[in-house]
Amino acid sequence: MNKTILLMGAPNVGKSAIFNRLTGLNVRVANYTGTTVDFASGTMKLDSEIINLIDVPGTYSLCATCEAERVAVEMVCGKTGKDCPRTAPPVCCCDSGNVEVDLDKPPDLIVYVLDAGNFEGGLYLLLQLLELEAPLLVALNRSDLAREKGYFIDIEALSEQLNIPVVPTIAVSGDGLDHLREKILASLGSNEQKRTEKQQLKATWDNVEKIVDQVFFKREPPVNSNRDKWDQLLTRPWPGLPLAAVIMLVIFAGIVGIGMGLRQFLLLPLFRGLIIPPLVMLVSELLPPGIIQNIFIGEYGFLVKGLEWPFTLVLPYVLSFYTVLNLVEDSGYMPRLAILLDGLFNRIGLAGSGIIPLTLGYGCGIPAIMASRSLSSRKERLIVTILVCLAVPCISQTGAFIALLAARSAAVMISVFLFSWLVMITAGLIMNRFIKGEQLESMVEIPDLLLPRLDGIMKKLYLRLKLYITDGALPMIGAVAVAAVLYETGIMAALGRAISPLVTGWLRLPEEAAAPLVLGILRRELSVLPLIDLDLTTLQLFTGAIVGLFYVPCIAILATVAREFKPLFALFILLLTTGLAFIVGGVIARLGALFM
Amino acid sequence: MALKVEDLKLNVERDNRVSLLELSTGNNGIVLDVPDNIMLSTLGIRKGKMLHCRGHQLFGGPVVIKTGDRQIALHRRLAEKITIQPV
Ligand SMILES: Nc1nc2c(ncn2[C@@H]2O[C@H](COP(=O)(O)OP(=O)(O)OP(=O)(O)O)[C@@H](O)[C@H]2O)c(=O)[nH]1
Ligand SMILES: [Mg+2]
Repeated sequence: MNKTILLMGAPNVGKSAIFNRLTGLNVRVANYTGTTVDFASGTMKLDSEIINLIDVPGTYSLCATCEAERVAVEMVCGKTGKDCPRTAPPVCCCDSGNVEVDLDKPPDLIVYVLDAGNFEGGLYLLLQLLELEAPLLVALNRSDLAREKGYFIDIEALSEQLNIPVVPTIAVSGDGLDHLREKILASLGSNEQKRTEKQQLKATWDNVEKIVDQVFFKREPPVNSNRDKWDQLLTRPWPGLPLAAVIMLVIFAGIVGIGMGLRQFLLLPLFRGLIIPPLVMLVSELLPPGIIQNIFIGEYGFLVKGLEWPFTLVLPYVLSFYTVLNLVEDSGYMPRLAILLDGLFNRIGLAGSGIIPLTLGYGCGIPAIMASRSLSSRKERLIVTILVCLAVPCISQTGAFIALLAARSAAVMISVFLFSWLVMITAGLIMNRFIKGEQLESMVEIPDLLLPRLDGIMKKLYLRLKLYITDGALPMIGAVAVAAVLYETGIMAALGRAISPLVTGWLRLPEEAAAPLVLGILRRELSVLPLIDLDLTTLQLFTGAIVGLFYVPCIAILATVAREFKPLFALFILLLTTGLAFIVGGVIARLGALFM
Repeated sequence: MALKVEDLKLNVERDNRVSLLELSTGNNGIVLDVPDNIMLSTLGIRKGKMLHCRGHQLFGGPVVIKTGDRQIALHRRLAEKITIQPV
């Protein structure tokens, strides 16, 4: 049986970064509280011994305040078979949480990650764990930041005080990791750690402060870096709010601009010029003209559209979106944006930190819904999930919008986004009224601004690319193949006729526009892409785009909702989104006709 | 979030004590009384701690404070429940 090591610590101290270093895996790392929302496990090899490593969400104490923290707390408390010490009344709010973790044996070692740049923040939980007599080892991470801030931590004194080994590390560069491995091995070897010789420190704030006094020193006067100046600029309403508007615009323009460039100059020539023609030639040589050949290279031929759509329409924006998102995530700007907007977000029932899952939703809805676990109430989770399903287009769908609309009319495209925000605000206001929940009283720690590191950004982008190929492009090719079969066998036309009253009568779109409604159930972008080849008026484009936006979020999202909440809630979302898509679409078609 | 708020026993002799919400930007204060909430404690907002007000966000947004070198955004309703002695 492999030994198990648990990585624990306060939020944003670099647990996942250390996990990635030790296991060679790649879990998400970002500069804000609540990046990890579920546990991740991997293995590492030390001295020919295979050891399991578990990364959990960060938590400040053993009293969980959100679903994500619960995952971490249950790992320790469940495993050690002891009750959580309740030093204060539990502020746990996730009564409905049903995180099930297989707790057959306690971890053989807890590697406790402390942030040297925010030393006090993690000490209380560390003392709680010591009280539980869990086998511990401390990794004093982010020691580069501590040095930069003029902090000095007496590692020997700390180790003495706690009576456990302490290893300084810098996870982003890998410094100290070898030393950490050695210490892990040593700690695992000397199993029955005996701490009896020394009086056990109790988990009290007095003890936390005593430790800080004795081992933590600060250079006076403190080195005032540029970091503080930037922080003030970005975090104060003035000029923070106007700057936020500028930053958002730059981000939006950057994503669209870089994406269009990649498409025009790299991916389109590559696929249209080099990859697709030989495939088409090959197939037309091998297969006689007819249904089968058309399935491969006809109108919806999956070797034509099935390659063009995922790789020349969507991929460019996947690359540009995640490049920009990674930069923003690693800089620490997100939590600052969150507090700037907190007051406004409160009105739609969310704390400002709701901006983080919503932003992730513009990439893909699944991580967005998962990330909502770090929000502190069930109400917030529900609101974020509904908003993401309803009106946040994933990056594939945004790529489709750009392809459909940008060339015809940039104004329509911008209107689609403005309209989506209008609907989100309205939906938020309504949900805030009607979903029950306690009053928001958020408190968040704002992490230091960090300069994003190129190696980190590139690595994350590469992972995204791989994930997009397997989880985005391949299913899309499959869906196009389904479309090709439906189309060539005449089933699509029959379906189109069946729902034609809805499409032509109610939405006032051509009969062929039934295709996106059928395919859109499979994938979000397919509720838009088939419209490209139709000859639509501007109003029809807008109607089609809006219907596509609100229409069923893809199957994978519904599955995630069913898993994270209840299957019934997924059904509710399905009905809500589809219903709203048709109602709003029909109204737009009619109202628009009055003005155009 | 269910907060167990300790009753604020107002001490009339010390009339310059105010709630954290009333501390103006750039000023410091020492925490006299704080709701019993483990999250607040772990964020460094405990009795006897010095807080520095970094600013108030618009639209009824949070108060941003510093304790030591940690920066924390607190909802107004919470800030109101924290009593401090300006210094
Ligand atoms: N300068 C510096 N930055 C680090 C170091 N370790 C991690 N970081 C950065 O700190 C941030 C947080 O890292 P994560 O690994 O996501 O932290 P975590 O503890 O897993 O956070 P949660 O999952 O939210 O609890 C990221 O932006 C990392 O790039 C370090 O040693 N030095
Ligand atoms: Mg993490």
